[in-house]
Amino acid sequence: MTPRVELRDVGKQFAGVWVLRGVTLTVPPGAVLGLVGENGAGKSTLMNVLAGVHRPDAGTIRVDGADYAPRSPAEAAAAGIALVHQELNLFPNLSVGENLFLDRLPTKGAVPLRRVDRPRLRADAEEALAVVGLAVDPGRPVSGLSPGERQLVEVAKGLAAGARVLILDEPTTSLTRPEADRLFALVRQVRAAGKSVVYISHNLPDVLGLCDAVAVLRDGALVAHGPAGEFTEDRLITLMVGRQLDQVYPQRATGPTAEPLLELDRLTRPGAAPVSLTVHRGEVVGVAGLMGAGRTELARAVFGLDPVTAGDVRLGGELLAALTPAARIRKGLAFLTEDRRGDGLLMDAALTDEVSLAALPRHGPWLRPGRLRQAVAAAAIRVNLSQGRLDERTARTLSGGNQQKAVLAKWLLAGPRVLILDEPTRGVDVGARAEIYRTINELVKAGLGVLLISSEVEELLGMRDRILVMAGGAVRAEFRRPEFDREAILRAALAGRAA
Amino acid sequence: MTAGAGVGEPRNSRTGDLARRLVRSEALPLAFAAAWVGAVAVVEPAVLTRRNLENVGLAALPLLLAAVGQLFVLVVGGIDLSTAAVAGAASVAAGLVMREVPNAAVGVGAVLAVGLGVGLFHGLAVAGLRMPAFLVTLATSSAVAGGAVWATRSQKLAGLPEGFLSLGWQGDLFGVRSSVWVAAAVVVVAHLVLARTVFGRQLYAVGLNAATARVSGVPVGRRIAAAFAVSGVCAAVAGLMLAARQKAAAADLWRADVLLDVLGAAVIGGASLRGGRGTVLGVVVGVAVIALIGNTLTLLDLDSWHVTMAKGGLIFLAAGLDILRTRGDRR
Amino acid sequence: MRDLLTLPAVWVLAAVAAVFAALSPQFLTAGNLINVLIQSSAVGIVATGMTFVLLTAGIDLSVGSVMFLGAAVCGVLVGGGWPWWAGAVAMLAVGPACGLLHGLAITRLGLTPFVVTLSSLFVIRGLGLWVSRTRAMNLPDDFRQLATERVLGVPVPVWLFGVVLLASQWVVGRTRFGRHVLAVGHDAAAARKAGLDVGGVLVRVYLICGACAALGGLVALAQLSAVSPTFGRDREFDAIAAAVLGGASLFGGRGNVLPGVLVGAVTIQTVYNGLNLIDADPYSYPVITGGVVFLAVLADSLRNRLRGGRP
Repeated sequence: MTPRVELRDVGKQFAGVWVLRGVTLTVPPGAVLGLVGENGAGKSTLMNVLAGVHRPDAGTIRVDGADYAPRSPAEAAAAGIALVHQELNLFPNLSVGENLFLDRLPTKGAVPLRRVDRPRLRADAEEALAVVGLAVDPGRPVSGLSPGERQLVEVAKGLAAGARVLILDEPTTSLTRPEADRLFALVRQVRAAGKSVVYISHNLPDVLGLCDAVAVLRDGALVAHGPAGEFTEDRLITLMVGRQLDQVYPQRATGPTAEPLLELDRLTRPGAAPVSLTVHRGEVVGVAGLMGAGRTELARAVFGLDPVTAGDVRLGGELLAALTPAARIRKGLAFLTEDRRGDGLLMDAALTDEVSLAALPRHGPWLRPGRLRQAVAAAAIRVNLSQGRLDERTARTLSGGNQQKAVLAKWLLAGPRVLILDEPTRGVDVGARAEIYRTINELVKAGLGVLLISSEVEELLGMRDRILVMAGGAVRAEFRRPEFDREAILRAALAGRAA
Repeated sequence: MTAGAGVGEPRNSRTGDLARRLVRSEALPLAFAAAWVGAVAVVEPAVLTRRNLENVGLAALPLLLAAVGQLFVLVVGGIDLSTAAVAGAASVAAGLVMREVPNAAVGVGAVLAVGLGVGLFHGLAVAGLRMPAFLVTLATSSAVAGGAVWATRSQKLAGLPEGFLSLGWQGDLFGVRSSVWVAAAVVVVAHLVLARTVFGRQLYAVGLNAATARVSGVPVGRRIAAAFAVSGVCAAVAGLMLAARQKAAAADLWRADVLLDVLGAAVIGGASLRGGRGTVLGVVVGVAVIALIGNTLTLLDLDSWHVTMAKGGLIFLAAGLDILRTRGDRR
Repeated sequence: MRDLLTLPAVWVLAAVAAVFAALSPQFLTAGNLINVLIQSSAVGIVATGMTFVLLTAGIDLSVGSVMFLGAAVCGVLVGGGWPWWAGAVAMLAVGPACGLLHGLAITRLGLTPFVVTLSSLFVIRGLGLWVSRTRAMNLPDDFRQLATERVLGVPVPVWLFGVVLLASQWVVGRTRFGRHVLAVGHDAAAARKAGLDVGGVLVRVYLICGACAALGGLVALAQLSAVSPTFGRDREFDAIAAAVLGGASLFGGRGNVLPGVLVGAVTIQTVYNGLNLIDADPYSYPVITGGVVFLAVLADSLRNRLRGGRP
């Protein structure tokens, strides 16, 4: 049988550095290929080559036996290759239907009066949405859809374009579990229709559960490729990192103390139920919940970014009155936000400036650049962000993992007592992930308290001392060490949603 | 993936590094300007006389003040279109109060009050009410300039007190004019504030990403308000100088399009309209370039439209340079 | 209709109109309202073109200079014995030519629109001064008729304004190009990935803006029937203010032609017209218009805030 996609010795270089070398890979029709690797291993480059964003500098690609060398995403789409990006490529200010057919909106009328054929657009869109089982009005603007619905619209877009190969890049990052399950069902359905899927994800259980075959990239080269049954999660991790990881979640030698550090006493946000919780010295409190459960909102309120209507926040017994991030940082709070690019980092500042930002008031009003540089270098070492030229590099040029380490370094430099981490390992590769966990453990050992918000139950189970489950803006359940139970956690998270 | 995960070796060779530094530094536009002046001097030696250069320098002082003020606003990612209006209104306010109380200190007080007042108003509207800076400063410039014209019935206010004139332009201190002292003081203080203080760092952070700055503990609103206040005060002091120089206050000391010189100087000097970039040194260079080009073209006895077009061409070149600069950063 | 009521400028316009209607009985007469429309038409046409550019998150600061260069070319040709309509055609050709150059500089050289059009503001005005030898020129009476002639009882400038508004609304709302303009304005990089010809969209947008600037210039020229060296100066600010009052965002992806630009352009002229009718001190005009623009912008930002969401 002719392979659907056949890559032979494909290579790509940027500025003289080969970021992709000698990749030879096939995807049969009606198969799902899982593509895994650390950030920077070349997955995105490989997919961008396939999708016509980049042109390969070596090797050949064939699709259904025919030579394939797209010069633009449009040409790739015409050849039946559809890439669903990690950052969704939808336009919230346009309607669902317009998004589905944006590059080929149906028109009617003669040239000066040629216009969009709205009835046909609606009919085509309804048909495309039916394929993915999404019942929304095609005339609705995308801004009103949930992340899961948007993901399905993206898939519908690719399929409607007549895709023979669908590339999904980290599609579940912003989905709830039911939404992800719905997407998986759709992928299986697409496979059954004889189309091929390339599925890129950091979530290894998902990859092993969904894919027929798995390919592992490391440093731009293919290190393994075979049927999914030949791999286990541990083996994949070993292949991805190229060495045995001690453990993804390192053991912590110390346990929590009984000394309360961060106390929320009936803290109430506008329109939400009051929340009370305590984080002790040396404790990691995990916060589980679905998207929209109010976890990020709670963290923002604690940090003084959003208003509260009632209730107190105490740090080390002291009431935090002034409601500004600056005041809270001074008292010893730190907040790693979930949106690194949006409000976590100064992407275009020198790393020295970025890492020192939160600690600046302690170094003022006059700056001593030498001392500041030393302090930044020390913080960089603590998070294992390899130093050198910190005053010349910008965050934009770093990988996701190193960007997150830079944010962590920024907060360490501010000298916090309590660290609020919101999805600290989202979009971070396995190696950097383990290092971030190690840093957290060191901080906890030194007596910090950590509030860890995460959508990955595995991560919470690996790092926690206690787990709180939030739903509908309130804390619904609390689990202590011996009684952890994935199912119970999920049930509690879902219960609030129904309520 | 423990080490060398990215923050690694410099990507370019040493020569590439040097070239990049040259392109990024403020020296390049200055070198262009020097070459141009040198070329013109061959045809018209009067350009390089001490007298001419002094004149160019003195005439450029108000522009320098306004551009330094504008830099603060550009750094936080805003824009202040009210330069000319504030300069005129500040001089008119001073002229009017000094008719009642002919005292230089009172006049200076009025100048500063107008600059600070308008600047803080902009800051409040932009930072507090989240209004777009472009429109806020456009609307206030119409209102403020109109108010100044109204108050004077578009007449010049002559007969300013001697002390005010001496302080603003002509006065002599250790053999150097008071206007030079004022401008030098503003430039030095502005440079120190932007380059050497926590406050300055925080201004750049706000311009690069206000959301990140806020999370990282920068009082974003207050920094934006402060930047607009600095810009207002600088424009007002520029108005003081202009009025003292022509010995009369007037609403139209500057035409509104001086703003284009101000923005042009800032952009030539490396500031970006997207915020987070630019230095005082760069602005000094930018003002020097604009002033020198204007002067040489006048000396060559060319029509005004040559000057106009040359300024446009310069801004274009400077923008091309900016692209080269940012390309290095955002590969 | 719901759009109309959620546009804060509409409320500001209604308030302004109510005040003047109370102060002057002439204000609400048909003749006067037509006058407001005639006076709004030049800036309104320029603002319509500007709206296309703003929708793509761009800006065109050169429209005032384009108006002037077109007028200068027209004045020189007509002064040299060409018929008035040939001068008008030449003027209309200047606009798209300038717009094309802007579009190419922005897409091919990768320069930011603000800087490109700021520099061409100087260069184009310089060209105009060169063409006109920095002299004022009077135009023949034929030209004036363009401004005063009525077709079906409606003056030509109002016709032109109306046609431009309706055509633009149709282009933005109903054509493929219009939808692509919105997509590019929301996120140019994403539009490129989606397979759209982003460069082509941008070039066409600046072309349209240049064409509208020249047409608006023609209307203004006919009303003045003279070219002075200051013709068109600062009109860029009026046009941007009108477009933004009409709901366009300087950050792209948001804005509309109808009712937006119409309301935006008419609001400013209503203030001038009303002050004129009540015999206000002419010196007070800029102060009051500045205040009204400020109020409209304030109302817009308050509305965005009420709609919720973090900025």
